[in-house]
Amino acid sequence: MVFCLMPAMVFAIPQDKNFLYFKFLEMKKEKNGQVSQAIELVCTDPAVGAVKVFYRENSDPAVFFAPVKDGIVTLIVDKPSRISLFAFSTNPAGFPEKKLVAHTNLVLFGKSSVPAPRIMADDIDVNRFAGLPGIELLSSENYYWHQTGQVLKFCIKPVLEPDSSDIDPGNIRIFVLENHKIRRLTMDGTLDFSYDPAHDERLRKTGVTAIRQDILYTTMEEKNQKYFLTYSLLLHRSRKGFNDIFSGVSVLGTSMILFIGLILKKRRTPW
Amino acid sequence: MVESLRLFCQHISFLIMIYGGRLGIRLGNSLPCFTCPYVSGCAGHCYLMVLQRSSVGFQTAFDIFFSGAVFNILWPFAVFLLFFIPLSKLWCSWICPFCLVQDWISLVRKKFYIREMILTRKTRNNIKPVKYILLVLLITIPLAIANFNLHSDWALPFCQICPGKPILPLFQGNWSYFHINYTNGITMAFSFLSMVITGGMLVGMFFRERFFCMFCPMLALMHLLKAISPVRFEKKIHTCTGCGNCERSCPVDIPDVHLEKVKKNVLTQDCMGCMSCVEACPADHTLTFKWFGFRLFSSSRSYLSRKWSQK
Amino acid sequence: MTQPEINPRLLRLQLKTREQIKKETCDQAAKIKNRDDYIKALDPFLESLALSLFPKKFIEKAVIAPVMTMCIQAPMELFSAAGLPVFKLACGSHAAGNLAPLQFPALTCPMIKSLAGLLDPQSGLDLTRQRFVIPTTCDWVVKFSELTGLYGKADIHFMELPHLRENERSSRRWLEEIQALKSWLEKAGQGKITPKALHAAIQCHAKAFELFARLIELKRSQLMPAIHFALIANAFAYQDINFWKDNVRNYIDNLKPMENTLAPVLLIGSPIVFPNYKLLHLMENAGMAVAADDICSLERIFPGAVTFEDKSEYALLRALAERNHKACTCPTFADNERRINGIFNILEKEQIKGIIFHVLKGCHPYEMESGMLETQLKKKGYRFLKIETDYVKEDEQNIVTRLEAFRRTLGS
Repeated sequence: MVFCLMPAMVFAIPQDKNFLYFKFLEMKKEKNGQVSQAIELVCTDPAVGAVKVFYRENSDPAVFFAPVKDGIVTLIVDKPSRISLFAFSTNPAGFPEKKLVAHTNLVLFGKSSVPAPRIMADDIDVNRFAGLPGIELLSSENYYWHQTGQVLKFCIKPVLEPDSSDIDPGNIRIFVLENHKIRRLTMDGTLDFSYDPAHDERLRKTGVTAIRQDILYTTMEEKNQKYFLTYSLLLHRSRKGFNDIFSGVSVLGTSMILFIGLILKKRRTPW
Repeated sequence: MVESLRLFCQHISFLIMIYGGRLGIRLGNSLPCFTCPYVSGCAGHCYLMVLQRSSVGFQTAFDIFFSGAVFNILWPFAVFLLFFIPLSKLWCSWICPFCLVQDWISLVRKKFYIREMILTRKTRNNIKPVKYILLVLLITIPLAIANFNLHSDWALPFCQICPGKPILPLFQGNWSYFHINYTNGITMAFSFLSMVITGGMLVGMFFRERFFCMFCPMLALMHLLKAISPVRFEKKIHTCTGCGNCERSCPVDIPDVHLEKVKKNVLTQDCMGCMSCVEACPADHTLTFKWFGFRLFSSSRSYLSRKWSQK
Repeated sequence: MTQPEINPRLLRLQLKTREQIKKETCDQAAKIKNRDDYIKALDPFLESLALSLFPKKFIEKAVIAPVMTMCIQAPMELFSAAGLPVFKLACGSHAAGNLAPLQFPALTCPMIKSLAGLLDPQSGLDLTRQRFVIPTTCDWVVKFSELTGLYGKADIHFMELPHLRENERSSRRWLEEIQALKSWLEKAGQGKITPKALHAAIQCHAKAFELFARLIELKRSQLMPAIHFALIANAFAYQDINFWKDNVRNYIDNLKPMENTLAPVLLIGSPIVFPNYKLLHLMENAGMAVAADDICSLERIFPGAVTFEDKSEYALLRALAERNHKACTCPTFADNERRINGIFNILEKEQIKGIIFHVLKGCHPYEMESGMLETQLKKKGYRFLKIETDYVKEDEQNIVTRLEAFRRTLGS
């Protein structure tokens, strides 16, 4: 399996940490109504070993396998789907104790009578990865349309078995690669933490569908294992953050006064 | 009396449309009336929004129109037709919640004995094409976004300026749509325009009945499809004495019914099926609303004398 | 007005004429009272109409001096709202015409002539103290005040009637006239006419219209004689509206069922005013009943219900203006082509086959329309008879012969 080598200066994730993360590429609406989303699997370590990608759809407990081709995973859906996507690498070459976990959530609005291809994950694989920790985004107000300026809550827990967690929050340090700059996030002694992405001038100008991808990452040690976890967060610009009600009501009031004046002046003579 | 019946229907439908979603009523997103999607907890959505959206509306690449995915656009339209065909323009005066809001605003004016603003026939004729222009724009702008790289902040152009967007959510206690959006120049322009239009419309609706309806692109869309509806509004040309009651009692002062001397069909583009003209017509069976050939309501001298002696 | 020296011959003529008017009135009243269908409930109408032929007495009896008005274009509701009673200038007396000034043309509308006689300055009525509202309908009405010498002496408010109804300019002009009438009535009456007072007056008249519509139904189903209907309709212009409504209710309650044996016909044309019920009697004699009519002194004396959008002053005045303008089918209008529609409507609904067109000699607007209507009606297969007459009795035999012949063409 070949992965892209991403220069550290571009993504600014420390190269020696060997992180694995998702990078969102083009979303495409197919003619048959299906929607496909290409996602690049990026690893900063050239010696990364076997990586497997799985996903879950909506509230379905079934786990599906997503094949990786040339470092790109293509998800195809035929109905509106909330997808939880994971990538695991348990055997990076030369570092057998290291485990890399990438996670993200996305929503795709497919609408087609042609069923999308799905491959059920191998139970053996699922069991191998089930207990691995990952960064999980807790549901928020705009659960699929995450926006800048909004407080997003996360936690660290096993990705496929979220109820069984014996992770020690002791020495975990969370970072976020926010708009190409690294920022440390504070944790309050538990596995929960929050992130409020700052507004982005580019997103404001580009349009309502424009996206920014931030990456939350951490390393942690647990039972002689080293974990390198990432979460790829897709962000849109804030929908309501730039709304000013006072200005709106002022314009409304002024417009009403002007129209009332105009009508009162002219209503004696029919228009 | 027909007017009381209409008002009763309008109030019931208002409650259903605005609050029905909270009771689990889901009527889909292809309704031929202003049940605004910006009202959370509403029972269904106005079809105009779907028309402007991507995948299900016209914000779609041209090649999609010639593929199987066009079904995604046709399906909501089919649902819209399913709702529209049986009632045609009766949706406007008997069901549309925004129409009722306008009637309430007019009622306040009437309570204060304030006279209506009168528009000449010339002005009214000049206004007529506006709704068609809006309809064309709400189709072409999304097309341009999907095909000609128009900035995506032009999305849902009509919804962005529709006065229903800030006004209707007021009924669920949300007044946050009265704002200026400073995200960028386009959003600022749209929100500014929205506030100016809303202000103008509120004033217009106060001084003139159904002021907004004169500009409503839904009415334009309905009028284009009126031929496939079983609702007919007919006039017996040879019994009309030209008293003008129909024009005066019409909320939007349609002159065509009064002036028509040749054609039997008088369901004009601005008609909303409120039947006020039928109620005011003194000539027996001269104006008639029909549904599948059945007479829904017909004018009569005795009805007129009874109604207006009690008003 | 200074009283000119009275010529003894003229004085004799006046006295004689007054006697003749009285006799005409009594004869007509007796004729009605002698009918089998006469009921006591008709008396109030008869009394008011008899009094209408003596304006001096009428005015003396009135608590508030009435405003004299012509035609049906001035809305009665406005007078009611102003608290002013109305004396309708309409007269069917042949004798009264004898007192008309000599400058009247030879072929004068008999109603105008008899009205001129009725308002004869020698009658003791101080015309300079009278108030008139005159809508400019036909040429006779337009020139009436000049011909009778009222112009410049009496307080006359002219309402310039636009002779087009379907364009906006005319409607606006007529609305201005109605607004001007309101201002004039406010000065003449008991102060400002508020929208509430106007609405109350409209409601009051609407209730009267409801009763009137009931009467029309009774007449059309031949449950009441056309003569009774004519009496009630004519008297409307001389009675207080509430008094008239009480009288109508009383009449309806006491109405005797009658046998329906006469052929129904539609009567259209020039106005028929008390005591000139010549044609109504003759038609009955010839075996025809006026099941419906399109005459401004009968069914059309009520122009209809006022349908207003709101209760603002503007809306109420506009509704009144349009009701008395657009809804009026007076032949003086230039765009009166849809008058025929109203006629067809009645003919179809009441299944009437015959139309009698009544033209008063000198009544040019109706005379002009008669030819056009005749062509259109005959084209649709209806029987049409034009009767041209005036207030004289000498042509009665001739008319009845023609009516009988016409009756035969209607079949059983």
